[in-house]
Amino acid sequence: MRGFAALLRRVMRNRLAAAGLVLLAAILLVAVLAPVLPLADPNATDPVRRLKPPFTDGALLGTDALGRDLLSRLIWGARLSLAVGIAASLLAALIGSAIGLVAGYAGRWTDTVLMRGIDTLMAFPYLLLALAVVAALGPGLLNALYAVVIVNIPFFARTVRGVTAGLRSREFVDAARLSGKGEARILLTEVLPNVTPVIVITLSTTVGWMILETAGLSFLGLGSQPPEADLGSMLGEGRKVLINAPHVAAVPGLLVFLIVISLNLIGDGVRDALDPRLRAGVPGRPGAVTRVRRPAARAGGPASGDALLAVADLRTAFETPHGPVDAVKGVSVSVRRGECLGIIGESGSGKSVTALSIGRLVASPPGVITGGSVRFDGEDLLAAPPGVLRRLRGGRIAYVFQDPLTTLHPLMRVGDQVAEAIRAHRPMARAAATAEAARLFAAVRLPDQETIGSAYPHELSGGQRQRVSIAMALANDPDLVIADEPTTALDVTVQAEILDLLDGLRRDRGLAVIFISHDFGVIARLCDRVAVMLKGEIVEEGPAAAVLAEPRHPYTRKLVAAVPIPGRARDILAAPVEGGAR
Amino acid sequence: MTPVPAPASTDAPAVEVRDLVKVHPARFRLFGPRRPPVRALRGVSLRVEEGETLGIIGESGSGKTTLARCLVGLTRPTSGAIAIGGRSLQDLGAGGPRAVAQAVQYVFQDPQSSLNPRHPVRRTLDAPLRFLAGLPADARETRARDLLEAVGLDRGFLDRYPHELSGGQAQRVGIARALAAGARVIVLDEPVSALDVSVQAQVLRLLAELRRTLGLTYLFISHDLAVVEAIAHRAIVLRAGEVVEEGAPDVLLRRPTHPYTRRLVASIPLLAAR
Amino acid sequence: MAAYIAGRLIALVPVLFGLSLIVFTIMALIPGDPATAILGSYATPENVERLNRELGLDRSLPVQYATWLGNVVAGDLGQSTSLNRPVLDEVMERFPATLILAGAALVLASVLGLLAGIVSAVRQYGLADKLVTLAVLVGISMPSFWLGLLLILAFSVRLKVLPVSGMYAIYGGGDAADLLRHLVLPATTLAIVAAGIIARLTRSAMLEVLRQDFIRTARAKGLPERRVVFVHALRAALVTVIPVIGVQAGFVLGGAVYIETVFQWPGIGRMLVDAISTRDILLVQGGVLVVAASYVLLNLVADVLQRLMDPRIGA
Repeated sequence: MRGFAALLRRVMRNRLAAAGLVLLAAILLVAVLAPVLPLADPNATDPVRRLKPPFTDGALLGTDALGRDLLSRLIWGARLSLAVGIAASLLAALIGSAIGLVAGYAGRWTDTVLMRGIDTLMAFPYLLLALAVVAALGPGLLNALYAVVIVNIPFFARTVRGVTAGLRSREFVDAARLSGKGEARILLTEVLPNVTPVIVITLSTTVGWMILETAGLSFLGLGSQPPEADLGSMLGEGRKVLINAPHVAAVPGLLVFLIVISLNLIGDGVRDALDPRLRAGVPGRPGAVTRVRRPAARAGGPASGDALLAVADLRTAFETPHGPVDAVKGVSVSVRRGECLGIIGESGSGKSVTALSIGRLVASPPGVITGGSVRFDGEDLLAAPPGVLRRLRGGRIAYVFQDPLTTLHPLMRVGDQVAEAIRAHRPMARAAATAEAARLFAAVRLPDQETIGSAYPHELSGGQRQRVSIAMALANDPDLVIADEPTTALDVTVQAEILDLLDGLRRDRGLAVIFISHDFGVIARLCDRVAVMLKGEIVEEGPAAAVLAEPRHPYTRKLVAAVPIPGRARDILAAPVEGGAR
Repeated sequence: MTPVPAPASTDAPAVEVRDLVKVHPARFRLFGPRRPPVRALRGVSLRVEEGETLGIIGESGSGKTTLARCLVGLTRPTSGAIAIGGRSLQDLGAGGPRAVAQAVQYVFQDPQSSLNPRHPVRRTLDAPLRFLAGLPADARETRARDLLEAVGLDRGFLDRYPHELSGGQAQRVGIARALAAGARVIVLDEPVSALDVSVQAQVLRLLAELRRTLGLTYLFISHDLAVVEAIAHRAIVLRAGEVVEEGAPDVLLRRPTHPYTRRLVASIPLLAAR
Repeated sequence: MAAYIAGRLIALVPVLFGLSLIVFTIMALIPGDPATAILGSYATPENVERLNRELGLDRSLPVQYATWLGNVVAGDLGQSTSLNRPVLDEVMERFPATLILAGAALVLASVLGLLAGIVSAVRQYGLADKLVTLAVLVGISMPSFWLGLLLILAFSVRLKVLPVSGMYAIYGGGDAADLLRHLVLPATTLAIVAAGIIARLTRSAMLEVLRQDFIRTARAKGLPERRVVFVHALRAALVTVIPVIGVQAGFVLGGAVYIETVFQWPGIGRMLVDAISTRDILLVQGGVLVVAASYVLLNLVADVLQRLMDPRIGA
């Protein structure tokens, strides 16, 4: 119950959802109170007073073709429509979720049998199945309810099954098994709590449809039968007198619309409140370049001397609902031509954000650069217009990212992706670019350079994919390559090959490299200089060999002492066990 | 910490694996390419003495995780035998899955995903104490606190949810859960590779100390030779489902004999290379 | 690719089998006696029994099913009792009208939905996005049978620019222009909801994709933003949108039942509603079966399209 109150609070924070909730609450209240409200008998006919327009004396909304009071019929009809719609939703959610949970958790043939059945139900065009069910059971409101339930079971079953099957292979389920829990207990206490939000979301986003469908079946004359009338059958009756008395159809239709729109508003609010990805507010679409919002004062800054890249006092923050959070707090580094600078730090140190800020590739929103300067060959990139940045990116400044499976476009052939990078900077025919890409593939020592270009990323191994990324970075002979943890996702032996490749390429081509890593060994293997980052700041910088051999800053000392060195790895166990504060 | 059912015979090794084979069967699809059978383990034998730590070194695809899952009964091997404290896993399993979990426990690679996001730490620790240690409710609370203390966390952590824990803290909870069952043998599947290097050292220290004070036996799986050297008495190198080399970790590092081990050792980026 | 399509076609067999089983079972479950329903309550028991024998209703259910299925495969859907003509003839005569209506609505919905969704995502939180979001909300909450009535009131009764009902062109009563005039209102009504769902999904798929790592890579390559959004992002987003368009085909085919009723469209939907009220079982069976089978084929097309766009599927 505490969870429900919290959910309600979060939903109410969304203005549209709150409006929907108020509207629905008002409609529900009137519908529930129908028996005690001073309403005319909804079924009392009066041939003398037929088809009176709205605002007639004694009939606020007018009368229908049999002279019955429309307001009274509307409220009683809404009561019926809501009751049937909500009952159908709950039933469909219950049955569908149960099927989905069992199928997803049991897997194997149980899954196959249940889901084939669900698939077959889904092979029917939606409403058609409902029609077939009503055809079998005969017209009537209860039968319409069954029809709507049957038609909607597959939605719940499929959604819940998908989530459950995902959870089943999660490690915490194995952990629960190793903690001695039985399968039924795991399903109910470990899996179900994680599926519940999905059920609630599906329910809240489909209850509107189900009310629509019930009304629709009644509209066709297959749902509620006279004299009993829900909103749908009122609409159906109104249709017969549409031209002479449009209000008889318009009014119940409007009420259906209002009920459904209020439910949809609430449903969207519930979805936004429960979706873990949207917890921190709905993120905006990241723009092409990171926004810069720095104090206008010093435009000049010191000349960068012989440095190819000079970053001075860089500050980058992320905007959150609780105010901006600084990720980079005044970082200054520089790189000369042909030099390799390593930036090392643990998770959350701001090293990747620093690397992305240089090319203004930090997702924005929520990222924003709040101060400092980034001078590349003398030009301040933080003041550069998007067009200039676009020409530099992939041109003179190239990036290699961490996980090549997610950083390469999954649906494009790798050859095309490299050719595209070439043609973005050097106009040439497609065939020429493809040939150029094959030459690059040879340079990064990929096998079968002529044919590998037609492979998709998922068809390559991790090491091959990273070679493709490196080929892409080299496409336009850059001056500076920024590599953000490029070997972290790879096996040790593959990592060694990629590091050798990068080292050879940078020496052959005179590349300047900024190499981001959490691994001292990797940095030592590749870099001339190293900067150590901690909580958004550089705490120590110097020649790589010197910093690693004789760290001066206490944090660096602690880090270096924690790295197990082959041959004397037991040294790291020397210090006493500390608390788990970090 | 807790009395544990004594091993069937005192001279039986803590863990003995003989000729373990796991073949993931071919997946037949009506259409399209069928996946051929995958031989994840091709006859692995190993022996770990009581109180010993065996390092198992392998890269992706070496079969190390399959081996680990077979050892705790999460995966059923195709053939071969596993004995924990002299009793075969099959015999133990005959007494219900709980008997296996009381004898051997598991620490997962990704500490966050091994904790249910909707359960506080108390609930995570409660399950093994209730179902495996068989403690009554009030004793479980005290014991959960003791366990947290043993892994260096204060009792305030009992009410935390996984997303409120750092990687290192989450892994300490994972270790506490493994200890809660009272098992003498613990399989650790890359327990520190998802952690930052400073946290990694702390967790390794914690593991070493727990082993000493509680007399535990570890099977420590890692891709990192140096980490294995830090914690293990003896190590095997696994490649494509086969043990290619075995020995003391420092010897493996200094004088690797198998070509694959040599390549592995040569691939380690060294801190003091130049 | 050919192997994939062949595989999918063969995989359809069990689905179609299941489909026929469900249709048959539902009809077999009908309470009461169809023969009595057909002949009326004054029929003599002898007549009822004779009709039951003619309909094969005196035999066991599996036998009935086997006979029925054999006939269906041979193209014999039986004789409509209310219309007194072969079901297949009636269904085939009416199906084109439904296909025209549903096809036009689906095309309209896809074009509108995709455009609105893309604009909305690219201009997130801008005026266009807010308008689209509002329109989508109204669209998916609108009872289409009510919207149809409102449109008739506005365009046919008040403005008198478009016909209320009656579509005769395909039966030789008019030309293409006449057909189009009759098609505008029903197709629009039918398209509104589907367009809303497609727009909403396109928007969220685009926004999701634009946050992916490979979009950052595209930008890091120095690609023009146009290309990043309309080639890299759209391509990945379409992979999730296309199956939904396939599902929408089902909603549109089903929704056609309302629209055909409202606009007096001579399609299969209206036929079904009439057949249910006259308890013309074989006509319901035949109509449902034909529409469902064509929907299954349509989804196959959507699957193949998705496979063409996403090399990871079925690899």
